[in-house]
Amino acid sequence: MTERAGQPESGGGPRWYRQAVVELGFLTAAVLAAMVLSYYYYYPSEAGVVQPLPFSHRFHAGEKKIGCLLCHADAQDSPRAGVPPLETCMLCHKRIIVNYPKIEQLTKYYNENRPVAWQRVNAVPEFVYFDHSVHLHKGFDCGRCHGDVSSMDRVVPRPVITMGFCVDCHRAEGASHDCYMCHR
Amino acid sequence: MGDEISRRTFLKLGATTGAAAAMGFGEKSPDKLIPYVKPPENVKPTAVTIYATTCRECPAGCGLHVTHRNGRVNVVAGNPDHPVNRGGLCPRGHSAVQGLYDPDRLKKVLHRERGGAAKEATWDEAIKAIAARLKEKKGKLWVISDLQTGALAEVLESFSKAFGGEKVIYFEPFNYEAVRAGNLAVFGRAELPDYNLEKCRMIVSFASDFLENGPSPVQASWQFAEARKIRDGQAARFVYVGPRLSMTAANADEFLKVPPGAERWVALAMVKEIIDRGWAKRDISAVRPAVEAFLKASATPSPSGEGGPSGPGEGLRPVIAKLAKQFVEAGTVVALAGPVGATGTTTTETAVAAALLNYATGNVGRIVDFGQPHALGRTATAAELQEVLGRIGSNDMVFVNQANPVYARNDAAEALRRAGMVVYLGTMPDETADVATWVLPVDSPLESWGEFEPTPYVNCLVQSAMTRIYETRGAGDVLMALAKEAGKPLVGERQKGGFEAWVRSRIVQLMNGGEERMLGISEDMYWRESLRRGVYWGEPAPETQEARELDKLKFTPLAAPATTAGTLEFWAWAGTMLHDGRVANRSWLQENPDPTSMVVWGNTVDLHPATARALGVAAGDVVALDPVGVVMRGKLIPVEAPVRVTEDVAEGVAALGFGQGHTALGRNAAGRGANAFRLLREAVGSATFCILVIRKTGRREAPVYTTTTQEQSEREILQWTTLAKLVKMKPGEGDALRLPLPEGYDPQRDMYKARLHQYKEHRWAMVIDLHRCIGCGACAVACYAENNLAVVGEKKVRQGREMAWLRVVPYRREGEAGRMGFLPMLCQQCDAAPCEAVCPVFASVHSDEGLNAQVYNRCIGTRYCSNNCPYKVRRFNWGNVDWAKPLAEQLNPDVTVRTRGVMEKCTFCIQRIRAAEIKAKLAGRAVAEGEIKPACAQSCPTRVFTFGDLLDPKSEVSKLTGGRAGLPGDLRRYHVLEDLNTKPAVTYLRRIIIGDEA
Repeated sequence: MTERAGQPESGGGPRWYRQAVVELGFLTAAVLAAMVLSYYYYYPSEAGVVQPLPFSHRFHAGEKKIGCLLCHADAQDSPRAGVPPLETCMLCHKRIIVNYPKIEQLTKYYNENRPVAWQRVNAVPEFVYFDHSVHLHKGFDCGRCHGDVSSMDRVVPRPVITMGFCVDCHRAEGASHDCYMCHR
Repeated sequence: MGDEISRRTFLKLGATTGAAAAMGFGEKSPDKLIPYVKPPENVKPTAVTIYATTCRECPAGCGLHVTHRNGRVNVVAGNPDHPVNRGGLCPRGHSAVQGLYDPDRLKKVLHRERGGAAKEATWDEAIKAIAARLKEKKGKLWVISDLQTGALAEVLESFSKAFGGEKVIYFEPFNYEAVRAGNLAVFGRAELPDYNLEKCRMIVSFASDFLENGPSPVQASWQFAEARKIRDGQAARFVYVGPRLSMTAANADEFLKVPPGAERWVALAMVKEIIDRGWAKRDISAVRPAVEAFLKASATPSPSGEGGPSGPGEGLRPVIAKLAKQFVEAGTVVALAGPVGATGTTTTETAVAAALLNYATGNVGRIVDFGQPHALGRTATAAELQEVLGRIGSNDMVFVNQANPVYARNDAAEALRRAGMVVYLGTMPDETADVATWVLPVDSPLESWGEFEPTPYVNCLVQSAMTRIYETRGAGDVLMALAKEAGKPLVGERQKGGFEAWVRSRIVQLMNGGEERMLGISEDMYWRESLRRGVYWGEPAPETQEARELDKLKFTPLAAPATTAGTLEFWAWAGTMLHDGRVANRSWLQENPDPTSMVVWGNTVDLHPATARALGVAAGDVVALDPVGVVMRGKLIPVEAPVRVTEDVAEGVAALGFGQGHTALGRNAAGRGANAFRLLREAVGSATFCILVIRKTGRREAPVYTTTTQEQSEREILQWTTLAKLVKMKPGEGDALRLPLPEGYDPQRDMYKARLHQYKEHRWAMVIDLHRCIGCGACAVACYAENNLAVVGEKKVRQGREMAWLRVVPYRREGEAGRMGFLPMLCQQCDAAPCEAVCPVFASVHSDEGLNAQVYNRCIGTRYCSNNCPYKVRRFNWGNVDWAKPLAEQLNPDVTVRTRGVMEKCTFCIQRIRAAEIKAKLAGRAVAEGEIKPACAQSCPTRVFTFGDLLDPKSEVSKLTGGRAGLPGDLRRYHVLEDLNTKPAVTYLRRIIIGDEA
């Protein structure tokens, strides 16, 4: 160290250059910070698993205000909400941003009659039998169990669905909390 | 249908979605969701689609409703609108899904050079090689098939014709040829008529086990139950005459145990009585000399009424006089002849006698309907088969379609080995596949298109309910492809769209010429309607038939002991589970017990105690059965099985069930038990099957039972009453039941200060009518299918670890030999349940709707609940089940698959209750009466089970039990172990003995 301290302006270049490097460093840091902050601004929850096609619930349900049941129609009259068939995507994307690469990929899947294997986000254990239709019939909002999907690009399971979560609600709503309600 | 998605594609897509959306349980939940690309209309993930098709497990032709979910078939049930089975199904029908997902199924084309081992081949190679051989025309062509009618029969016949074959040989191990021969002798028609048993007021069976093996067992079952239903204080009396207490015999009001072959002695004695007393409505006096000669020559009765090998005793004479009188007085009656599998003159003569009785009482054209002969009449007789098999030459080609002659006939293996080329089309690697040159895997009936016509006017459609799982093809398509490749395409026009189009064109033809005209309806609509219904039928008036040339009838005298010391008469029988053995690889049918012996995973040689003593054999000794007086050809596999000593068989008889003793077929069947077919041959002398000697092997092997005793030890678990008693009772009389309702609480009797449970909406309950229960065990098998019950195998059953939630127990009536009844025992869903109070972790809890819920995820396996259960209906999982692939595909996604260390039990099919409740809730209505049917109730051919809500005073269960205040209830109601004060939700109705005695 002492040896090096004795050598002025070693390995640096001109002063303006060094200043520019520092300034650029700060600028990069600021941009990065801004990006990180804006990420949390736009995506208040953490991001969920990466899907084979980057579908954004925030954009479709939030920005464009598309109702849940347009795509998850089965929720109304069957136990499972279901994942929409590619045909549903193509309802709009036959016309909208057809040249966007990811949409081109989607169109390709559709034309080749190849299904997309989405990563599962919400699940209950296999000894639990949940039925979407009765809960919707009772008038519950999807958000009660699925959180604010319209703010999530990649959906995360929030709130975390545990037996306690189910039973609390059943109690509060005066619904039966008989074991055979969900376990069989 | 052109622009719509094709059916195959739809099913294929369904399969992929299914794989992800609801994978087999016991495995981890899937982490991928794969939706349809283009969804078929109205198909939702996990939603059920029902396909109407026809059961092809035997030639009865019952209608099926197949539950299809996520691309795969889970459960089958009877089609309630089908004229043959009316919604019921037999155990074998239920096992159709296990046939589809059988882990040992043929998956690939196999080729075997003469004497070599089988090698895998491709379809192209097979078609080319077989077609080349067809073109060569070296020898003759033989086509042997299981019974087919309609489109596949047309294909088989035109195929055979195109390549110079003779007529197609339809081979069924049970072809009822003795009955056909009997009808030929009396009426000149070698046919199997239709029986309208439901109209009978008395039924006499001469060793015919019509409730077990048909020709149409489910039909016979519901008809029998209808006939036995009490109307205006009357019901049909049923008398069984035969050497063995079969399931059918156990349902008789009177079981006359006679030595084998003596059934005809009883029948002819009745004939004589009817002629002598001038009771005959139709003239049969021409037969009198022959009958008298027979009775005279046979008059060597043994003094023992029991009837040893020497013939029925003189003591039977008054019984017969009474029987004949009752028979004539009842008027609308029928006599049935058996047993199945017997082809000799003895059995034919029994059939002749039965035909005479039906004719004399004027019931031909009333109960016996010659207008609707069964398709089984088209099957080849044993003699025809023998002739054909004998003629097969070394240059000949033999096609065997879904039949297994090598298992069921001693001479088939040698004949097929002699042939130049044997092409086997089938689903299982059975004994016939083992001798075939080419083994072509064909679709299981649930994957196939086709049609079947059990009787004229009943046209059943077989439709594919799911996409095929292996590289299989339809048998019709294979034959059409072969014919095309060999340059002789079958009937040009119909060849175009493959076999499916062939079936369709035939169904559409029906539209123009059939009974059901649908004018103004397009072909497409008719086809779709056909797919929806699965069956078309007409109900023509019964057709009569005149007897002819009765004076030419002759009867072989009943032999004096054909058996010298040490020899026995063989008696083969077919049960409800294994039937002719083609289903023996299905674990449900191996693990569910034979109705009367409760033997599983094997079969036994049944001997009378006196006979066993005389021979010096004890229960559990493994004995070999060797036929006497027959020159045996070829290498024969010994027929060896452990002895079961029982008074259910006549003295001097060795009885063995059909269906076991396979040398191939798969892991559950091969090498298990003894094959009774091995002992079948042209009857020797006057024996029904054959005379044999018993040879001790020195080994011992205890048969496996699921129920160790059939005695009730004075507990009166199964109770009987008589018609005479019932008629005298007034409405409202009968047992006062302590029902699982607030009214059932009594502070004097109950332990708790107040009633524990309050039901708000429902209190599910069940009523089981024991009088209707014939013991077939369809309910138990249906439960296995619906509730994902584990099959544990022979070893664990021996340890008492079988998992059946519902068992049908054959209980004896104390102090009365030969009186047996059947009691379906399942969780009684008690109100004061002994199981609930003892669970330390609240895994056994009372539900809001009165069920004793078992919460698997709470259960820690202390087994206290099971110890405290007086009905012994709880089952503990001693291990995890390894579902052999692809058997897990059958699992019902609505029911949890339990794991090791967990107690389980009947839930009244809670998944069906919930589904109905949710459906009602969405529609804004209450659950309708009869809307919920547990699997057992849905499956039952005789409608034993009634399920419903005790809180609803209008429900059927309330009416039958007395229910809430004011209802009289059924006179026969009782609770099992009522004095324990468990207040069970299952109420039984007593069995009724119809007739003057008892």
